[in-house]
Amino acid sequence: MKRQLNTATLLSVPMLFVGVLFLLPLAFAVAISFDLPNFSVRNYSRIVDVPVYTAVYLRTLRVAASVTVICLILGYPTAYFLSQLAPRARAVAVTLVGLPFMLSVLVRNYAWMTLLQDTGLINRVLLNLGLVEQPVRLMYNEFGVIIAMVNMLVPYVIFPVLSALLAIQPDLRTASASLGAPPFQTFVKVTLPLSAAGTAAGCLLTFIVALGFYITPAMLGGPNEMTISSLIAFNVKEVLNWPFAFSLATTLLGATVVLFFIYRVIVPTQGMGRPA
Amino acid sequence: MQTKQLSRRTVLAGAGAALTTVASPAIIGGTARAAQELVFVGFGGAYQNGQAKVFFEPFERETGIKIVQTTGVELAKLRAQVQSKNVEWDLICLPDRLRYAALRDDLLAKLDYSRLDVSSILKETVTERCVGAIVFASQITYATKAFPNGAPKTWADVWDTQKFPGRRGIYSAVTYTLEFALLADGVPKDKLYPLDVERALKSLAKFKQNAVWWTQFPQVEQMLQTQEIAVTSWTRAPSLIIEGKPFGISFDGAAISYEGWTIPNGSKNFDAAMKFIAFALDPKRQAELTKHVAFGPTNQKALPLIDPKVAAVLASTPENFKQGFLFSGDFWGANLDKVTERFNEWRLG
Repeated sequence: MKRQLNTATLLSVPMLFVGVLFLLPLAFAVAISFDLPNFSVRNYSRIVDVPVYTAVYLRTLRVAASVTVICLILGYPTAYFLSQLAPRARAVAVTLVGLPFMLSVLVRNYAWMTLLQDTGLINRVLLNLGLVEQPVRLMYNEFGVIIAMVNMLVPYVIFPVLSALLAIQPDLRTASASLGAPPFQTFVKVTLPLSAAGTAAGCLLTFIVALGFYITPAMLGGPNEMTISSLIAFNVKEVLNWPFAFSLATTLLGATVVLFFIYRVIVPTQGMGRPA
Repeated sequence: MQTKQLSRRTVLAGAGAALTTVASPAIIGGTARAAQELVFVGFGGAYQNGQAKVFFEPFERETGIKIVQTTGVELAKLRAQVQSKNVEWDLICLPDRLRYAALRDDLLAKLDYSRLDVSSILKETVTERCVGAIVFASQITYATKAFPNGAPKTWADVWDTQKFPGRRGIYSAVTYTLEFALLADGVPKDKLYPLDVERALKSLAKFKQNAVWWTQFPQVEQMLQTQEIAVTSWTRAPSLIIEGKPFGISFDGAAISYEGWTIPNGSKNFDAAMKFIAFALDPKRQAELTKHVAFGPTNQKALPLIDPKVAAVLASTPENFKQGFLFSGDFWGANLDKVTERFNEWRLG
């Protein structure tokens, strides 16, 4: 009883912090998007009536989903490999995975530009080797945007998956092997289900962070690489139409929450998850 | 030696004085301190460093009023300050592009023109709540090595990819870009506004696939240098040309715009801010600023004081000014929202 009380006291500080500095402003933003106190849905009708907004929402969701899938494909094996390393080697490797976090997004965008543009490193090598006659379009399209976003977001998959993999008792795998399961079967029947929760968390994190990207699509994308965050920023900063900006943001939040619940139903998130 | 002679009374008096000094802001209140200070918000970089050397430091020496500098001119922040009646900024050098929205939301104070000499200030930049500080342009900018046999001089040239081959850079926004598309299509520059948006988009369609659409102004230098693009519209070439970088510009059809001194509505230091604006409009000081950043003066009396090599790339000399057109902050203030929505639809289509 006493311990519970202490926990409650300890929790109250961060909860107050989140409540006052996050939930309350969020509630204000939602209220402004409905023009309260004079309730109206004119901002939301505009989102529905002007086709641009639906198109940009779908594009944003599609890019975020593609990035998440690619991050999973690249991140899971990396995390598995890291989990098999000796602790000292793993510490070094984990630091290397986290290293890009130390560079600002802008710097990394410029770095990708010098690699991917028509006069960039990759195209120059390809041209000099005679492999192509014309530079290949590696950026100013969705391809360039996705490459750069995956580079920035893959650690968001690696870290949760790694911690899930490390939490698996090695005995379980030994037991599986001793019962005659070949390595692949052990992986599918033991390791994969037991790391499902971490994998799910990593994917969710990646997807949500990816929804908010806008400088990278603006710099590496073509004229049609628009994201919903860039439209929100435009309405907040350029035309000062905050009610509309907040209605765009609220819609994005709503869509994310709905997707989150769908995802919760499909993917097991319990620590001792059932096989998917 | 001195310390030995300190009596207890001196020490006590000293302590008393120290206490009073520490406590005085609390006793006298914010106003006494505020009279000595002006908060300026700018864009940072070489531009603001130049403003500090030419305006802020001498002003502080002359008047004793300290200028506190900050960066990040954003209307959203200004509006939050004005609406919460907690205005931190006293002086903004505001781009004309943002002036309309600032006026619409009543964010700027009326200037006291009885205290300013604007007889030689470019008259287009003198309005009730804003007085021109510098003039700049978005103009045709190219890498000189991309055009060894003559560079594009007009927007029609830039649109003519047969005669002037090379990839184009397009500023991925409606402001400037639509004006240039219309000039390229033959609209006379005095008939630009109100813009024929559909005609501009039709003219721009030529570059929908084969151009580099950029969004960040600093990106362009690198793209021109590596010849990722041959020619684009840009605002930052004059400074680089003075430094000797291999870029060329043309003022033909340039969109000329300005930044002006403004005071937020509700500034606690209106008087001191007016004193500063009067100080900053001085032709000698405006001419001095061009040594730090290649923005043109608004004071016509400043022009003869500027190094002719520098003056040649400034937007406010009469010969350059008359080749361009005055970018309409008013048109964009009223239409930015709607036209951008149409532009976005066009981009996705």
